[in-house]
Amino acid sequence: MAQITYREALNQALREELERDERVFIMGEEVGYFGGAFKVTDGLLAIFGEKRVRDTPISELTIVGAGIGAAMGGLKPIVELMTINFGLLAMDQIVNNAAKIHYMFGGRAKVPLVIRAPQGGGHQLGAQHSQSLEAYFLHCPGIRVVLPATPADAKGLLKSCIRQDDPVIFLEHESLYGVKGEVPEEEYLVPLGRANVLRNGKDLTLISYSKCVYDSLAAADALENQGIDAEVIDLRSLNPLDMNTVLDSVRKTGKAIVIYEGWYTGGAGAEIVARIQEAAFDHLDAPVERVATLDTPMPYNAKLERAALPSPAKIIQVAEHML
Amino acid sequence: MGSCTAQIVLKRASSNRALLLYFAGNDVLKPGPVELAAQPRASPCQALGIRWASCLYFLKFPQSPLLTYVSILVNVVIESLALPGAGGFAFMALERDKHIAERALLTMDEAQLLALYRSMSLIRRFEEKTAEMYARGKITGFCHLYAGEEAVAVGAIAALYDKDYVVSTYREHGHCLAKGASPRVVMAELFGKATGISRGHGGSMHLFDANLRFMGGYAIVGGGLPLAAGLGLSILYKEEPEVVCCFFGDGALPQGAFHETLNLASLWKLPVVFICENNFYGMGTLVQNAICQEELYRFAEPYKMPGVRVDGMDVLDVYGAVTEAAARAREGDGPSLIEAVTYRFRGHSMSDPAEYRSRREERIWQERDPIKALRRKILHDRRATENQLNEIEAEVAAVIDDAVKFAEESPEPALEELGKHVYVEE
Repeated sequence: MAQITYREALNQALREELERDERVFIMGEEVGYFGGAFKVTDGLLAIFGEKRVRDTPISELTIVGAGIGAAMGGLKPIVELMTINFGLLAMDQIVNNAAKIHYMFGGRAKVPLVIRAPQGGGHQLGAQHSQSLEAYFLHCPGIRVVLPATPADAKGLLKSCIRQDDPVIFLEHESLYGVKGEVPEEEYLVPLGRANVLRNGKDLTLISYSKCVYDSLAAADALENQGIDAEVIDLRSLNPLDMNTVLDSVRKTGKAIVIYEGWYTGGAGAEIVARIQEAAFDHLDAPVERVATLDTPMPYNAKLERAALPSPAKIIQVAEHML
Repeated sequence: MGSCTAQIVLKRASSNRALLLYFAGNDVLKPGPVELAAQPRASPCQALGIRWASCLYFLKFPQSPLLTYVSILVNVVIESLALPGAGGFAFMALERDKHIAERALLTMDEAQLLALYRSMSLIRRFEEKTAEMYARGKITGFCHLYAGEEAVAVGAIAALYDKDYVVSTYREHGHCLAKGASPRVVMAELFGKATGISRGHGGSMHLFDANLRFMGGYAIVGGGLPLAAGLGLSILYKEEPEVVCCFFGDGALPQGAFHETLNLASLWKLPVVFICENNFYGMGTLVQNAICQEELYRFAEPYKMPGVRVDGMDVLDVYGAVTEAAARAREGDGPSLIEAVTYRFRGHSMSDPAEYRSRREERIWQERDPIKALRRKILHDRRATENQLNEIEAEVAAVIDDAVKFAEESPEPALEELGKHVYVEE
């Protein structure tokens, strides 16, 4: 298998789907001539032309709304928001239209729209450019929330999202674009709603998604040296949410930590914790813990930013306390 | 020419133009292209807060060779801006002449005219029944009636082909019916029944029928505009000949979605006809208190598209303007903005008694009832008999009664429906 970056994997997925299906097109700020603010769409304009790789003005609300309209008109739009922070301007279209249209019209309309957006902190970009907002979308029924961690998943999940008929928020972590991983050379899809057990263990379950998967794996390696055998689960998507894989693991280990980069309060991890205790309370040997971003806007200072974000060290500390 | 009484209703005290002539009960001078040759001497009256005054005006009738300049006594209705309720805005500018409406009247055959009359009557009857059913508790939730504005939906949609798209708002019964929806399924939706057009999931504000290309009612002000742009984009993309007709109220103009969408639509030359139904009030807030440019069609100018103001109480005027705009869109020349000046005869919603406007203002507008106006026109031009029109009224009443019966007898959605249709792929 080839070793390629997360960015290249996404680019391949887009290219293959553009080739496969005439209805698929990309639009967003800087996706064409600039090649994408994070270079994910690099080179696609040259292959597919302006009709299918369409630069837009800075109008997030209307880019997303036009994506919804185009999807209702029979196309398969992929809208890129430059970052999820700007996506807040499009919240009305995402929450009130994209997520509602299928239901409020009695199942007679559908919106096969993929909204891709980078998110996450760690680059000293300050309070307005460092957010992880998956919980905002998870809260709203009617829209899928997908957060790949590995290059192989980035490609396989994105292709699955483009091929299905529900609206999707596809959140890519800005720190992962340069991460390399093995990606199959033949055509493949990663189905939505199946968590991935990346590491088997019997003492403790570490549940995470997106960049925190790497923090969890690093923590598990370190814990191994202390004789603690941690299982690591990558959820891959929050909606659909594969609780079966999580519960099977927790019933086995009796202990769980949920690690996520959203804010601690009201984060997606809080939902996972609640569901674990609802379904597996009798199997728990300790309260389910969370490691998340501190409840503060992101500071610019590097030391403070590191202190605000989840890290392997924080996971290890909680795990040691738990055991 | 004998005596001729006309009412001139001034738009506002500061305006230099008398903007619309309304002829009360005199058909000798048909309302047509009429210009004022002299400025009305209205200011002193208004400064004093006098609501009524009689003045002598010189009127110019360019289309009448016999009456180049006629002086007539007119009753001028003047209402100062300072007066509560701002009833003085009852009639707005109609700066374009009505040659398009006149031409439409001449070119339409009798069947077409009667179809317009039927469609407007059907909507009116539907809305009257809806109000009745609401009062009886059969319909609940938010419910915004379209009575008074029928000429806009009917005129605009008559100018479209069946495969053209319509995007609407929460005041959408009229658009949906004009696009061809059966009153049965619309009424059933209002009743929340399983047979409703949105299976009882949507209600009054969320009607939808993809087969009719009625692309939905959206209840966030301005929320439908970006969707219309997207539908327009899908048409261009697939190189299809359709256009999108997007309705929204005056309340949507200060929304960012309006400005973003007009920019995008013009930039990409999307085949969209934007129709602003200016009924003067966003809920209870007068246009002038919400929008710096009260001549709403002028918002077309910065977005480099044609903008026209039409008489939204004249179905033929709306029809003519939308025909032009749709042709332009189909030619690949991009979007247009049409401001249809109209009035809702009811409050904002069923729970609104419209205390913010005067009963007299309402009566002035009821005089301009679009259905009565078309009826007068048809009869005056001898295009149909009174009997024919009465038969249509009776037929429409029966259709709506049947719709209510259908809605009442339809089943509620099953409880299992609750969790269905959240996702296409469960």
